[in-house]
Amino acid sequence: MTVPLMILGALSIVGGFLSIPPIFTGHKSIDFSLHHWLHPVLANAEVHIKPDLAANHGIEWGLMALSVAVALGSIGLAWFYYSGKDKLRDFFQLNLPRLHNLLWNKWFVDEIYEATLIKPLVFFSREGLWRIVDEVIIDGTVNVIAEGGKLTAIWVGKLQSGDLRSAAAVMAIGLAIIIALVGIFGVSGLDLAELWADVCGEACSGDGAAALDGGAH
Amino acid sequence: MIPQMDFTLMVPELVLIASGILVLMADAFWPRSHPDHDPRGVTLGITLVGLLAAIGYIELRLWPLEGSQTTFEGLFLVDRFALAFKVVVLFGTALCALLCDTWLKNQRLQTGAFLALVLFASTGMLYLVSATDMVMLFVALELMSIPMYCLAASLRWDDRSVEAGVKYLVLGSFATAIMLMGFAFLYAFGGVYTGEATTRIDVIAQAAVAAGAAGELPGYAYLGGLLALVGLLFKISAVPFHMWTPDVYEGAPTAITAWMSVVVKTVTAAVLLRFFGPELLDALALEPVLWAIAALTMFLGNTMALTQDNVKRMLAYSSVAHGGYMLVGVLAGSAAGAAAVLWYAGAYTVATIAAFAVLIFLSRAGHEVETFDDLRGLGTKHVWLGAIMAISMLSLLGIPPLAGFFGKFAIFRAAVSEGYVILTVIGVLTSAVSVAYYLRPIVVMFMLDRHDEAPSVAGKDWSVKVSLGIAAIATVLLGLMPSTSLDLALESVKALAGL
Amino acid sequence: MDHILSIVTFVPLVGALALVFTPKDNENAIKWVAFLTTLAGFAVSLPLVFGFDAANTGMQFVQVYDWVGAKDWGFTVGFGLDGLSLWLVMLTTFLGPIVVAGSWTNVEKRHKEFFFWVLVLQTFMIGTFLATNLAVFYVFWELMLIPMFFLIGVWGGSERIYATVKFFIYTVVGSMLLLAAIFYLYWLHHAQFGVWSLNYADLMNLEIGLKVQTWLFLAFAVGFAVKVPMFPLHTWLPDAHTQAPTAGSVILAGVLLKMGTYGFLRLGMPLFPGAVEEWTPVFMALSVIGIIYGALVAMVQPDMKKLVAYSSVSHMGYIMLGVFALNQQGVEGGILQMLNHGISTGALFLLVGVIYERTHTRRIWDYGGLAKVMPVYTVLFILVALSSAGLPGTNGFVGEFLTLLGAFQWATAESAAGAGFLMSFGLVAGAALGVILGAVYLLWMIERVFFGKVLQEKNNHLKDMNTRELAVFAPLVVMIFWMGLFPNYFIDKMEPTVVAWIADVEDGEEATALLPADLGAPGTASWAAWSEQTGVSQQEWLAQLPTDAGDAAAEGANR
Repeated sequence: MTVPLMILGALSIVGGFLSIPPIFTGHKSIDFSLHHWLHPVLANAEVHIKPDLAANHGIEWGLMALSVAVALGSIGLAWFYYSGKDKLRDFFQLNLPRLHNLLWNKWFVDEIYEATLIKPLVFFSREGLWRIVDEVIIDGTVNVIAEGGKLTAIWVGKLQSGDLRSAAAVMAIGLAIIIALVGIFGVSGLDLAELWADVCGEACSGDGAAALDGGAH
Repeated sequence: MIPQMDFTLMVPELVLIASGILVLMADAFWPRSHPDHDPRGVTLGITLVGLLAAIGYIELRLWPLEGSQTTFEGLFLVDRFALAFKVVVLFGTALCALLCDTWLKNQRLQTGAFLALVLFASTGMLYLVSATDMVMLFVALELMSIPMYCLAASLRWDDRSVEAGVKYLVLGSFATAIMLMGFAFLYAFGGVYTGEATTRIDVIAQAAVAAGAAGELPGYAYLGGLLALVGLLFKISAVPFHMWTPDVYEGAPTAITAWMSVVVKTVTAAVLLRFFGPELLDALALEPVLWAIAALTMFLGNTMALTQDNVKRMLAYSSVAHGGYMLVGVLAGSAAGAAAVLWYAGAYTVATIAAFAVLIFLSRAGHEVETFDDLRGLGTKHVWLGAIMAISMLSLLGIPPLAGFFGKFAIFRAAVSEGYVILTVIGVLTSAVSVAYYLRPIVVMFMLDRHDEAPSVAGKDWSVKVSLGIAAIATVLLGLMPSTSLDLALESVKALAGL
Repeated sequence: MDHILSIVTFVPLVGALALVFTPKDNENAIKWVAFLTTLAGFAVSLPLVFGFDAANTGMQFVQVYDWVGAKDWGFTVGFGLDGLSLWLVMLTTFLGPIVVAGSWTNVEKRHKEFFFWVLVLQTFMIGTFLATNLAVFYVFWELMLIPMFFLIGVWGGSERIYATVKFFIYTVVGSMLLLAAIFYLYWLHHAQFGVWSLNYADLMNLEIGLKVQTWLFLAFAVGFAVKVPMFPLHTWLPDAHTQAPTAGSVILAGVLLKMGTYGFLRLGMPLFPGAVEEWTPVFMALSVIGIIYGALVAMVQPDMKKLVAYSSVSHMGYIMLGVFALNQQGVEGGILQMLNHGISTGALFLLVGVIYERTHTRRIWDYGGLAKVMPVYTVLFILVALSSAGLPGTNGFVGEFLTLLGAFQWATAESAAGAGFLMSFGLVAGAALGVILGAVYLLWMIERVFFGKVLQEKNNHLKDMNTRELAVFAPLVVMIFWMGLFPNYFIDKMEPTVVAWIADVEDGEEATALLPADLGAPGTASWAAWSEQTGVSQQEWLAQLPTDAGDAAAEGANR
């Protein structure tokens, strides 16, 4: 395990050089700066924060100093806490056991995550999204449509009883209905097309209107 | 008075009649001592020669004639429109005749009577396309239908076959009777309105249009038009006159089913195009009727095919749907529409025959390949057959660049041009439904395994192979050259009066 | 160079024909024929990159043939390449040899048919990208289904028939709507210009009012959305991907899914810009839902392949997000993500295939501790997974970043125009959340599969990657880093086209606002018909529009 850590450490040393803040370079660009390397890709999208050079120097230096100090300080504290005499650690364990416990267990962050985020999310995804939405609702809808087609086929198929008389009956009844419809709509002048157009507007007309075709064919 | 009789126009029909008679005679005079009890080769040969001769005559002698020629006092009309449809019908019949050969031997049926009936029925179809007059139409229709009733029942020991024949006979006669009633009304109207008794359909149609425009069309004329339409709708399996189709197609011998499902629709579409053009439909208030029937037919045909376990029955219902598509073309009524219907009939013919041919090819004596279970794994074992079945299914489904796609495209294009947008949308959506059942044979043949020994196809006769090959190649070729052939179709329909 | 596009398209088909004549028992010959064909296909497509003129925003290498059997029908067989399709074609030819090499040892039966379908599929996919005529596009679009149908149905897993039929039916229903809309456009062009045509260039001239545009756009959108796949039309994908053989999954994820997004880019959006403007919020929302939904469901999958499949749903959401943002970053990001997804997810499927070949299980809980047993495989897997998650330095980062940037700019514009928080920044925040979730499901899977204890004794004896397998992944890894570190090479070539495309769509949006809403409807197809119907002439209409552009257009019409 230490070999990877050593490699990562070495890379970290070099990695920082990828994007050295201009404050060090005196506003000259360094060729391998990450900012400039990404520039062509992001050219149109860049929003330049105008560097107000004079005012911000102090803040920049201050921030850098602070973060380095915190890092070094933590290293020191850890060294002191773990490798020196056990006095500090024992002190904590005896007098502030709960604080020690909390810190030892990384503020229980992992456990909190597990309980509040991960478990519910996994449960929701598995049962809610996958099982219910995907399988029941979406696939279900598709299957219902397919079943519907099948049921229509079966239901209409019941008409097809194979019985000769019923076949003839269907023909006769069908004919009677057609005659009735033609009589009502065709002969007496009730225009189905007009009715239909009234109902659903212009886009629906589809009965051989000659005005449609702009050119002759 | 002896009517003018120009037999040169009727040669194809006469050739077929002669072939039929020759076939019967060959069968009658076949020596008993001959090892083959059945003059199969001879009869098939005569049949094919007759059919090809008819096609040849049409191509060589009749096609070059411009315009329309009539004979027998105008009873028999020959124009390019009729000739084109005749060629399609004859071609389809020839392919099916080839399919009959092995099968007849396996079923131990005498070819003589069988093929003679086929030839006579074909003659009826040719007359039907050339008919100009009600009586002629009726006679031709019966000449076409009655042999078919017999052929449907030709497996005399099989209940389903006999049932098919009886159903076809009874329901067909029912429909024809209704049609005759319609003709009677139209005849009456024609006589009353024009003052002269005529059975010429075009004359009566013109009278109807004129009367309709003047608002003087009597009620019984409407009725007559509708009833007359019924007989034709029956033949094209339109809803609600389709009830016979599944049972008859399933029960009849497969080769006959293949033949019936393609040629009858073709000629019926031709007759509808010729006589029930947009003006007449408008005058007789039949246009919304036809619209609704077309929509219902497409819908019903496609949905009912979904749950079938028997391939033949599934193909029967799908043919109902295809009839619906053709009705859309009829409704469009323009030159483009008529050409599209003709082309569609051709594309549908070859694709359907290919599918049935595969079924026949895989069948053996006593073991017909009919259900989806029978088809399992056969594509894996016999790859070419599976491929042909796949091509046929995909063409019927309408996948480009196969013939079926362009057929539907041409029909829908014509329909949209004439303003039938909603009907086109219905057509496209019901086509989507057809995916499910057209895919099934392909899935079953290639992706499932058999439970028992697959039938071998070794030693199958050349005749089925020839038919199969021609049908498959035609499906692909038509798809690759759609507009060349469509232009040809367009040219032939220009002869149709009023376009 | 004149015929290069047709060469690129049909080389795989030639290879497929060669396969037909190869004896079916000679497995080796079959595989080599297939491999060499795909390699040749890639080689032949390289000149496209070098000969591509980035500054030219129109179609390049154009070839036009008359379809001999279909004159006057407007079915010209046209091929053309522009910045939008260049990299997609390259992706397809690039993945070709990889797919073949990746399937070298895991096809169990009927090798001849298998590689035949793979090669045929290549041709159809390239043809779809290169078509410049809607008829040709549709033909290839439908044809693509057939090889995929067989690949899944014959060589797939235990539920393959269910998966392949579902895939076919979903896609065909979408395509039927597409076809209905195509018919309509076909007729409309004739009604407006008197000529039957389905060429892209001609169709762009159509003047369609907003009402009709909406219907047509939705028809196109459903057809394409099924393929993308967008939520909620995505449920075919997990089944199809899981049951497909490795090669099938790689092609499906690598190229076929891009067809949907390409359809939007090439056709759906330029043809109906007015409708696009109206429906963008909906599509953005659906994209974000897809991103989050896909990621969450991926997280709880026990099957590795299904996990990657749902991750595809999530990633395609990013692409749609970028494309609909309609700004340069977004669209470029979207196209880049298309390429990235093809490479990363394709590689992921190949990786899952590697382990599946060895153990015949894809369940995560069957594994554990593989890092000790197969270290090279582990490294490769983690690398590819991180690229999929968008680690900077890999291709995924650039694409994701650009898409999110584009989306953010869109959100800024939207909220400036008055949209609420939810529909602008809220959406982008959701998308950004998706990045986190992307890392979650991948890393969690990696943890369970590669680290910890080896759960099954027999897994201790698994062999690590062999040379062939490594060779298959090498080009993919190279691309991951090349596109991640030097994306400009890829972006530069498409930038002018993208900029021009965006400008076109925006112009179209403005132009649509000037047209009467029902222009293009059945009764009012052309200006002439509309004027007849409403009694208002074109000039009068334009004059009463409340914008300067209206006056200018009226001037134009007067001339």
